[in-house]
Amino acid sequence: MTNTPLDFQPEFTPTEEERPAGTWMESYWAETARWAKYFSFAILGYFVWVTYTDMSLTFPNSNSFSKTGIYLVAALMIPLANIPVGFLSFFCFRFSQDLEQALAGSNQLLLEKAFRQLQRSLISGLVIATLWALSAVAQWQTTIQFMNQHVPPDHLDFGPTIIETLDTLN
Amino acid sequence: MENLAQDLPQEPTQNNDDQSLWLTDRLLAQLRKSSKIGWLLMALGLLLGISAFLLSLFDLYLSWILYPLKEFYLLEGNTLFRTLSALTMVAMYYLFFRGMLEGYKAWRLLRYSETDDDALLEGSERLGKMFHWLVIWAGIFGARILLVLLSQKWMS
Repeated sequence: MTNTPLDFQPEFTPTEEERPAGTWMESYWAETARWAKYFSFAILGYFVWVTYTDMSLTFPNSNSFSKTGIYLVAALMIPLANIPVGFLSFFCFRFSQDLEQALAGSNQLLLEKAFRQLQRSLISGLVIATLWALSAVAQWQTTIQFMNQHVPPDHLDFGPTIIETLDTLN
Repeated sequence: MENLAQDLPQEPTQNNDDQSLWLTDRLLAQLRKSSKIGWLLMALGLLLGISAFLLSLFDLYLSWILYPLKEFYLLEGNTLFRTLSALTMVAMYYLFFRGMLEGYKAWRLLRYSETDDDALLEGSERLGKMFHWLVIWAGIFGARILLVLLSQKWMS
């Protein structure tokens, strides 16, 4: 068994049917890599902000943190709940980084790796979208409940409430 | 004439230069695999965007009706913040939908790119546009958060 250097890359040999990507495709990939990098930074900013906001809502003052163990659990749970956002940012950054390097060095293996990172970022996005969908269901339920119970005060001339209007139409 | 020819987009090269990147079967299969997830994500994103937009409109309706303005003076009270908040909300949703639609079209094209080279090219171009619109959306989203924080500071 021979020792192989860690940065060893097996040579890429295209088959007869495979063809070069071409300059158009490479320019589109370069554009995608650039914007994907900015997007990953924006998502990272959102991750930091959302974790900070959740933490500051849970721990309005620092004394309460030391009092009970429940806050410790919350302190662990909040970043965990936001982890898909962190993953989205990370995989998006890796995608842009790998794609840029693949384009710069014409590295086929890195190009394929970049698109695997993109798939991982899409999976993270799907997890976030599913969590948001659950949150949206809860929000709609609260809103519908509010609309059903809402009786406008007399001093505000609302006209018919939304539910009354819908009833009239039916 | 030579300069003009250089500015025109070049046809995809058909040479066997080892230094270029290749559209390998593995890469194209990976793209098509990703396109299924991407297409689903964009469709879900569009639905969630519509839902969030309707909820935001309802919130806006309630806030303007519960705290009505007797006379509209932009620089009095928090009228300026309320107006800016409404405007940034509309801009934010417009950019989000733009990004999601570009993504939806991109992934749909890439999904059917096995036999269609134009779909592969257009899909790749739209993928960049999707990120472009989403970055601007994220910028407006951040500006809106700052606006809310500023208005809270201003009112307190």
